Amino acid sequence: MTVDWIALAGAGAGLVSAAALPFLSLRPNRILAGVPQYAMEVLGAGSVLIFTAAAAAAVLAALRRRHSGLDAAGTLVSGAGLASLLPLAGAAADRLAGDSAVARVSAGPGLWLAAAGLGAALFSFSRRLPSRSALRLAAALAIPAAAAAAGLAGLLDDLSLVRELLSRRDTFTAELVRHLALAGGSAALGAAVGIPLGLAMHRRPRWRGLISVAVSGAQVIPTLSLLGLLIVPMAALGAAVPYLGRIGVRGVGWAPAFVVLFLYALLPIAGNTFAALGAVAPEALDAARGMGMSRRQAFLRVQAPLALPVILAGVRTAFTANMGNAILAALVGGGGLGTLVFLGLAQAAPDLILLGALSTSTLALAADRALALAFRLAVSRGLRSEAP
Amino acid sequence: MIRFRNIVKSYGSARAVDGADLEIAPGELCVLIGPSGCGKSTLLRTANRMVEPDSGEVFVDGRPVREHPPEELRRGIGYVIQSVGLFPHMTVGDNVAVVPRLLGIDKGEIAGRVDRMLELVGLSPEWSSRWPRELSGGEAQRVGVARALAADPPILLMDEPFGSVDPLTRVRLQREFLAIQRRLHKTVLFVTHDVEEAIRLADRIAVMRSGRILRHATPEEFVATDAEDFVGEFLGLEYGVEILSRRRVREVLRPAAEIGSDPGAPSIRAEASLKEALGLMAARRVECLSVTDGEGRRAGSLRMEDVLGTWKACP
Repeated sequence: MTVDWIALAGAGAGLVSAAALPFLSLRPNRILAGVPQYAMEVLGAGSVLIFTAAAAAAVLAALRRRHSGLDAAGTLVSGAGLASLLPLAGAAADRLAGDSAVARVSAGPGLWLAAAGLGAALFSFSRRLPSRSALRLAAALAIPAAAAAAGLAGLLDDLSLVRELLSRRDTFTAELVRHLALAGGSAALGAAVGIPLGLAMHRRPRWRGLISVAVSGAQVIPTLSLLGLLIVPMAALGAAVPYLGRIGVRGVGWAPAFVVLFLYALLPIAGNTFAALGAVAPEALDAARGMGMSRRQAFLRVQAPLALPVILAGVRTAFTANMGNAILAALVGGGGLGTLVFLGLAQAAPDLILLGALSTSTLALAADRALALAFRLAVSRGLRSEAP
Repeated sequence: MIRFRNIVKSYGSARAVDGADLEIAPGELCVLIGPSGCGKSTLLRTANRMVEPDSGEVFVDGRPVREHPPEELRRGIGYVIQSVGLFPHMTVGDNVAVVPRLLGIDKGEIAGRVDRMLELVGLSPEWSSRWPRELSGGEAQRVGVARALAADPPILLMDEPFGSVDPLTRVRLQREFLAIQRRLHKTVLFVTHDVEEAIRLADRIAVMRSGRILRHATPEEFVATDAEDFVGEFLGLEYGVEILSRRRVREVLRPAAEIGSDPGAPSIRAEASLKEALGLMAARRVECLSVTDGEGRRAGSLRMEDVLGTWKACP
């Protein structure tokens, strides 16, 4: 009965910006200013495809009717439009750059906004589809699949972002691995320490205040100042314990970054563990004890499994946040994808900044989705909200 | 079978149980009734050591419960609580199997027992793989009873087990539970604040107030209670009518051969309770009902004096 305003605004904005704003930008070399390139000029027939998809999505969104067929059609056209953006842009970049080895083609506001608008429309259409429908799954997979296929086919080689990546492939891989190790390792240690801390808060009311202050204390100090504050103690620690010094514990480097990320991971994990254990229905525990389970059995067989979904949600929050926060490690020489961002800032190379930022957020999203899926399998089917 | 001797339990300055004495004979279903906060749940929970009394002693089978390790004691006593307390992360079958598993009974034996228990409470074995969240309140409560009976304990403690379901379901669960009890003859301590429920189920009723047992007697013996004292006030004047729900029409009807037909009299099933018969008489304003058997054939008739018995004429 109503218009889908989100999809309408998204598809409309996508259509207008793809048509009216520079779609790509051509720079004769990495430093010179770019020359705007419009979709209709550089995409040729491809522009018709994108305009048609966006226009069709807008019309479907404006229809004053709720119908699953309309939602499916909307998902299809906005998904197709979105998935074709990157391959089309890559092909156009290839033509624009020609044989020049130094010319750079980067995405313009038209491409970004078209992607964002179509993405919003796709989200709005597809969320009304049944949660297990094949179309919804296809919509979720089509975009990364199209990007990956275009990348493998070499279509994207002339986009400046990909140029940056290709020219620093080894550094990129090394920093990516380091980023994962820093963020993942610190979050894993955060879980190893945070879950027992949450348990202690639940079991020992007297320690609750102290632990809570300690854990949230780390959280209220701004990240950057915490890194700064750690320089002296970490240097002292590295000097005092020779083994730690040998493995690289110093005032700067990976160690202070790891400690900061670890401290940041503690609050969501310990806090969720404490809240989850306290939220277990007292009747379930009463029944467990009343049927003759020992304290240990009641904890392991009833309380812990019932608290597990919320505890794992805390672990997931910590992992995801750490994937993003780990960018700051580069500030103290800790490495990671932040290295690319800060290098880009120093060299005034926006593509490099973008490469670091985009890969970091992709990493955070991927970590979030992967953990959501893995934890879903770990939780009893009896506790899931939707029907099995 | 269960004996409470002078139980006292305080929480801070409040005395929840204040010198309660109660004895439940083997195979007897004792309903412990009283207003909210009278200490009935606390008293029940001293029997499986979920509550340790400040003083006094609980005996099970003549032995003080404090001589048993609590876990061992509880595994031998069925326990059903109001909100069911089914474990939502376990299937129905796993819920029923909890105590047998704690007792280390072997797997094959447990599987068969789960199926038998579900059948006993009127659920087919296929229910075993369902999850608690898929059950209605009444179904969950049935599983709760099956779970309490799974290790075949001689004693059942039931704390308002049917308190959270709708009235129709409650009556059905009570009837089914009574049928199970007639087969199994468990020693049951059943806590409720619902007088009708007590009348339907009890072999004996214990009325509790402010932590003490005021009176412990059969439901029929309570009819003579003085309406002025607390017990009479708590049970209510309608107790005299409610008690009729314990007897069936077939127990007092006049056989068809004994009397002539009474055309036009409303009919009632022989299995109906005397309370229902009286209700029908009041609604139709008749003194006489025609009684039919299970197949709908006329079995006899019922007069108001058969329902109420002989009574004193007004002075």
